[in-house]
Amino acid sequence: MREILLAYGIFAMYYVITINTIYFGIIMFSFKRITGIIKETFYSKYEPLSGSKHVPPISILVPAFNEELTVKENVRSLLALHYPTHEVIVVNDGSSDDTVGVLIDEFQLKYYKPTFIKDTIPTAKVKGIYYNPEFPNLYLVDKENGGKADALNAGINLSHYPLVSSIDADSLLESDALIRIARKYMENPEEYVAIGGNVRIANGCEISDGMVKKVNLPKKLLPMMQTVEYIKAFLGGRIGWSDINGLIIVSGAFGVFKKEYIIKVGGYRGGYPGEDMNIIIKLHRYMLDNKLPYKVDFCPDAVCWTQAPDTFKILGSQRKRWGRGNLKNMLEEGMYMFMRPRYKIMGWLTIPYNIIFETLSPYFRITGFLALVGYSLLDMSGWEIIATFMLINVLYGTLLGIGSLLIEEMAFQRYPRIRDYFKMVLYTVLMFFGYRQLGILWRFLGHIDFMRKNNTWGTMTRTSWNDSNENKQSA
Amino acid sequence: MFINLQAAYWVIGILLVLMIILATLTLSMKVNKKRLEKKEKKCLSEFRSYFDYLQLQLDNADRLRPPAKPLRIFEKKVLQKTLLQWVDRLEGIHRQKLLTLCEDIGLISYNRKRLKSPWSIIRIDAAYHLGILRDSESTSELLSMLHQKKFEASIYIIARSIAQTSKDVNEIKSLIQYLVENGKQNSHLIADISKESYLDLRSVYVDFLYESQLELVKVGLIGLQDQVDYHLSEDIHSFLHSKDKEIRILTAKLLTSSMALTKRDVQAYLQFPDWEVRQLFAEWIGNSELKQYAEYLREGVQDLNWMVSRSSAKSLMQLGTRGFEILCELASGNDGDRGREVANEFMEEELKQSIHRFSNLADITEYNQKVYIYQKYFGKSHDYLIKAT
Repeated sequence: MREILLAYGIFAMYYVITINTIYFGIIMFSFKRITGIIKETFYSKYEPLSGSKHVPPISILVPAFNEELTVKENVRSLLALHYPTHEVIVVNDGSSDDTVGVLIDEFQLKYYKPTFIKDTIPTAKVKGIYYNPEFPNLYLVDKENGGKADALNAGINLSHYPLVSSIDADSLLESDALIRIARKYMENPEEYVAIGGNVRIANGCEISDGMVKKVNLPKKLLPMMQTVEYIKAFLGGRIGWSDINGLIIVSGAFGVFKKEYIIKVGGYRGGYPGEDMNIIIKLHRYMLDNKLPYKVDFCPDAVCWTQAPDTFKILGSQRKRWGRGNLKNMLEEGMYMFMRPRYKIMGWLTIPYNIIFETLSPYFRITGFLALVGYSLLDMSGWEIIATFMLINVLYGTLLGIGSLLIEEMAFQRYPRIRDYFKMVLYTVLMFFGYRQLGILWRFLGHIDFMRKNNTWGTMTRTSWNDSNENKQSA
Repeated sequence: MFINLQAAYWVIGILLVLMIILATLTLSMKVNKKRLEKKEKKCLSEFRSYFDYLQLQLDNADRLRPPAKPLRIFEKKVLQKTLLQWVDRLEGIHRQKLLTLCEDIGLISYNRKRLKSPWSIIRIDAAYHLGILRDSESTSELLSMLHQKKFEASIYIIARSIAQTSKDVNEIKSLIQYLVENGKQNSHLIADISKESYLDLRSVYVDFLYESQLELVKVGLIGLQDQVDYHLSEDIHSFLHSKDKEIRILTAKLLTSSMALTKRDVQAYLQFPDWEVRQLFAEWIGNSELKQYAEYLREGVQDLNWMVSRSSAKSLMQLGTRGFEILCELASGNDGDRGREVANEFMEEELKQSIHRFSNLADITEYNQKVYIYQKYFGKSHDYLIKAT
């Protein structure tokens, strides 16, 4: 028994080492691409482009559910974007708070019957459209609750332009974020079907008029953990995955899509979270099934700032949702693409990686951990082996985090202070002592919710950008 | 299960070494950046009076003097950063004076040398700056750099610099051809790059219209849209029958921007098979306030495509009382039910908006005329009382 427990525990550790090794390979692809990104970031001319009529028009879709505290600043910042032609479509998804009222008051919007919204993609009932000719590129769609995916589909139905951008109502775009993605799109408009932006954590930053004025690291523990986690995932991971056209997700917080293909794949899938991953898998599948040349890319210099959950309760709800969404996507789409040659990188690498090392990871990790606990209760003669393997995993994970911080420094330098670097390294290490394990547990609980068909959104509260700013200043 | 503790210790050692290397690299970059920022700040404060001199002398006819003391490379870089920001913002004689100053300071020769660097990032930096410096003597070297480079995103940085520096229309033409042949259907980006040139590219764009490669035709059609005084040849209309949808749409855009259209053309294009073309013409009529075409928009409001229908109704709103009367006729159901709801919505909107637009007697008169027309079709409404003129 003792031997079996030790062997299984060691197997679980090899499993984690394998995950880290694959991630190491992905980071290598990120480093390979980094000089190109530096050139694009510093030497592409964005100012003339933001006034150019050759830039494609974009419809920005903002699904809003109980967002009365943040939606006003968000919409203001979107209207002020440096972009030649864009429209902002806020879709109120049956909020129980005063999201609609706040926007009507702020922009003096007037009610119109929803005659000019088409049912290209079926959605829950649209109650009305609000509009003010004084703000000709702002629309507010008021509809019955149907979920985020349904709200995005309603926005697509109203949108006037061939490119659509999905943005969370609690996120703020940098003024040149859209033009940076558009420049990338213009290089290869025929093949790009989706381009994701870089999501960064805004907690702790100074914000006014819907814009991040000064970048600071969060003061609280959980947002700080998420800051280093996001840097690793976006810079270390997504740059590399996009280099091999194996990106499985474009964050719901900020991405640009070709509307034509979103409609062709039937729009966003409702009913479950993880619609942002689902739409990308469907796009990959559609393009590969039809043998169409395509690319799903990531644009790290197009930045969107978002509020990170700062309590265990809210973070737990978010991670459980992610777990549920991931499992649903793998069962619904991933299984069909798993190891099938026609799906190329997606079939051979991305989907297997996601199923084996993301979806199934809670099971291997939790059982591996329990095996080691059981082993140590029976006998601790192999403690040196366990400690060594644990140390390797912590160091390997930290190395990947430090590598991502190097990418951040080479190309973006959003956190120039030296003490910020040490703080980020410290939290990169700290992540392995509790935070990671909690994440695994939440994901597992998300799977249980999925089995029990518990499909509620969970706890989600918003803080006004002004409040978080005031909190910061008074701290 | 393979367990070799000795190998595991080696792995720990390697991981630690790699971590130290990466952290040292990051920290040294940070420290270096801090040091350079401090040095740059000090340098800028030393140049403050010189920048004041430049701003004062920019309007004078005299040539701008370079700084009195010989400049070190770092000082040149700091000056370049500020001066090129000004060059980008200014135009005409002011820009030219600054460009001459940059040459006198030695910025052009400095960047030309860097163009030969073994490091690709330095070559790109030099190409970018030579473009802003409009150094025509670097064009041939930039062109060879373009052809030697693997086709990737930074190609467009070099291409923009070539467009900025070239004095030869044929060079721009071959640049566009190269980008089209090697790029991926990015005609809008290529047209945008070509607009960086100060040369008259009309002949190039016209030549492209007769090329067999569709992407070149697209660049030609996009490029010609800005040539307001250019008289389009009659055969432009034939592109509306192209098999490529984007060419048809670009042609419609070009035709509307040139205004070279007869009544028959407008009528035909408002019934064009592509909804995008119909919408473009419907919008154009409203935006250009072409009242003579108001009647043609009646069918537009009844269009099966909702975007065309709404654009036509919106244009009718912009066409004065005749446009408004057509909206009333459609809203009253005289022409059937199709488009009735859209017409009604825009008609109501126009009346609401007109109330807030009163700035002179003509506005009040026009409003009253619209209310009169409205009442003719829908009877008296207390919402829209006729104002005393």
